[in-house]
Amino acid sequence: MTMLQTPPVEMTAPTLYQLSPELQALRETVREFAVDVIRPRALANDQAPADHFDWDVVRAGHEIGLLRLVVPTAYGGLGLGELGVAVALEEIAAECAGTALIFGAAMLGQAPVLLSGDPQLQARFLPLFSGDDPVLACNAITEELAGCDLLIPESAEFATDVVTARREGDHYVLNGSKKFITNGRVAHYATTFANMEGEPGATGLTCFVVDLDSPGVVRGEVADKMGYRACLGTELHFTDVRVPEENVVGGEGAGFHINIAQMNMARAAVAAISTGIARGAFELAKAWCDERVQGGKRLREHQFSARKLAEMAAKVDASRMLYLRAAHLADNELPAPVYEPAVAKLFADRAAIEVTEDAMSLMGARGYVREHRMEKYLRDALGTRIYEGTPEVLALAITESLYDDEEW
Amino acid sequence: MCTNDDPDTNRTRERYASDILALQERLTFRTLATLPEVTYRVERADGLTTLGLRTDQLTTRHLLGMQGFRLAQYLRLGWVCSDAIASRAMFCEPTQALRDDDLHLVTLDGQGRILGYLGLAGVDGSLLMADPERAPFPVEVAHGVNLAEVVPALATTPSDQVRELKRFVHRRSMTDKLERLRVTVELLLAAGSVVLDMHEVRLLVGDVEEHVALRHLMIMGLETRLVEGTRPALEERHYLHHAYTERAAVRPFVADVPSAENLGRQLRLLEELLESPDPVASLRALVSDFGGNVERVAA
Repeated sequence: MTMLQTPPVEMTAPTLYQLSPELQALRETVREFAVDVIRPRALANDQAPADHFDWDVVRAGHEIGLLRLVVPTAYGGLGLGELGVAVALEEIAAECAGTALIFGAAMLGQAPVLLSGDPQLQARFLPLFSGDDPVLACNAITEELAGCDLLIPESAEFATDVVTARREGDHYVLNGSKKFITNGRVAHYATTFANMEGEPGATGLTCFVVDLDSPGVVRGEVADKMGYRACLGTELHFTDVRVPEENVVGGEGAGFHINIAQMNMARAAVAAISTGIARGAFELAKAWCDERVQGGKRLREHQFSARKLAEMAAKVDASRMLYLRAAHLADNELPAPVYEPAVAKLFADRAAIEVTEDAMSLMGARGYVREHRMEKYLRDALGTRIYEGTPEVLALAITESLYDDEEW
Repeated sequence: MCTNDDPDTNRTRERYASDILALQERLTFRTLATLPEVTYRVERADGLTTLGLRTDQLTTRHLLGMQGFRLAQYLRLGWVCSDAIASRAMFCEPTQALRDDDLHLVTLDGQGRILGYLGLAGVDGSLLMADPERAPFPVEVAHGVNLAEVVPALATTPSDQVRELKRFVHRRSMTDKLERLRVTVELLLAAGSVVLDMHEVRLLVGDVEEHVALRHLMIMGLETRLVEGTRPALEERHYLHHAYTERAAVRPFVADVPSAENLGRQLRLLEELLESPDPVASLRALVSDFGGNVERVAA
């Protein structure tokens, strides 16, 4: 009988189920940071006033490279892709989703500069993240009236708060307001999407790198949010803000393509945050079910509880598989995939809500008490469903992809 | 090359240069002092730290930070062409030409801001300086001169016993004269100490302005041959072209490394100078009593 030969290790290509040694090391490093630095402060940061910001956590994260994950090595960064980002964000979100979003939003602010392919723009902004002091960026899309959708022409016509841009010599002049901009209060610059005056909609949408210390920029109120309290969602007001023409990303009218590309890439990372929230809640519930004895048995030995735990574990694993696939494709496909990130986010967001709710029910009254952190997971889980695509927006993207083939 | 016919292009490139200066002004690197291996380290009670690191002891981001500091200071001095750096999207000096064992000496303040930098670079291989196959030092390329031909004493020295002193720069925004002197002395102490430890190094080369960097060589007590009559050889598009055309005459030099005894004495005097209540007067006395000498040779 011929024995099947085990292939030598070097012949086995890395798969999504086996991260590269570099990414495994990254995951371990970030996990250690999350447990040692974030966990002890997560509750305090969550219960602090809405405008409280913990720079110490950011500084500690920056020390391990979290603000330069996607910055190319030529600019002093780690040169990782979406997969690395997603793996790191799951680990952080397992302790505090708000902290994960601080780093995620900074990367979102780096993304247009990276996507621009403009070496001067990159040289002027990306090395900022390689010094020892943490520098944050943010991405300013959302507006009062237009929400995340700046592409609806009528929005510009009716709204007074829509951010517009007009060219004056070698500068552009920006006016209007943005809302719910994560890191807006604390970032050095914002990649800001504005419609060229007289050109509302996709054709006029333009992305600018705006120094947030420029004259005319006012960092407005911080939203007092239900969850994600560690990061600051801020209004940004622009009054005749002069932005040099070199700060246009990809040229006038390129904003639409940049917006779509970064959104499709970001969804895998946000699915990873949802996975982290679900995992954090699941791990707390799992430990509780192993410890708590009722009716002479540990909770995990009760069939109803065991069933819940099993469902929760499956949802966490499935979420992870979906975001890993989406991130892997985002790193390897051009244009960035639409379907897989949307599916990952749709599933993982829902899974996070379901898992945290089940985890809370398993912990009973303790889950409802702040000090046990479970209710924080539930509040955070509800937040993830909103940004970078609500279920309704994701459903449209997914369904459009499903029928793409038929159009041919 | 810095003057372009198109005013819009000029304005854009000036803004690029200004952004790079602002960027480099903002960066701090206090973690340089925490790198696991350093060749030289002196930490003063007031927070000033001077480090010596080989290229291969640096992380990429720290190396880029130092190269960025160098570029920014040369840019402030007007020795780097803003046109050239903008057209190449440079934010730091290139790293490709650096060798693994090139040394980077750097003084940091308590916040991790780089206050001064001095490089000690070698060339690949170990051929006699007179050997036509020998790799040229950057100073020879910049001045279009073979130093072994104009300084006969250099000819029989193997190239791995020679180092080039490069980019002795202060943070230009540091305006306090005493502070600048302090950084100069800290870097000279570092350079002298590492050369003392590298027993094989017998000669130093480089280029200096007569009334500026030449004084550093005198402070170190170096016997220096200053080469006169060379012409800048970097092509006009080279980003450092201005360093040789837009300032007072820059001359190549060849200097003997003093004996261990003499160099050790010079380093002790420099240490004492740091403690002096009147460092400027002490420096004058040091140069007067134990300073080096200059001999001029024609190219």
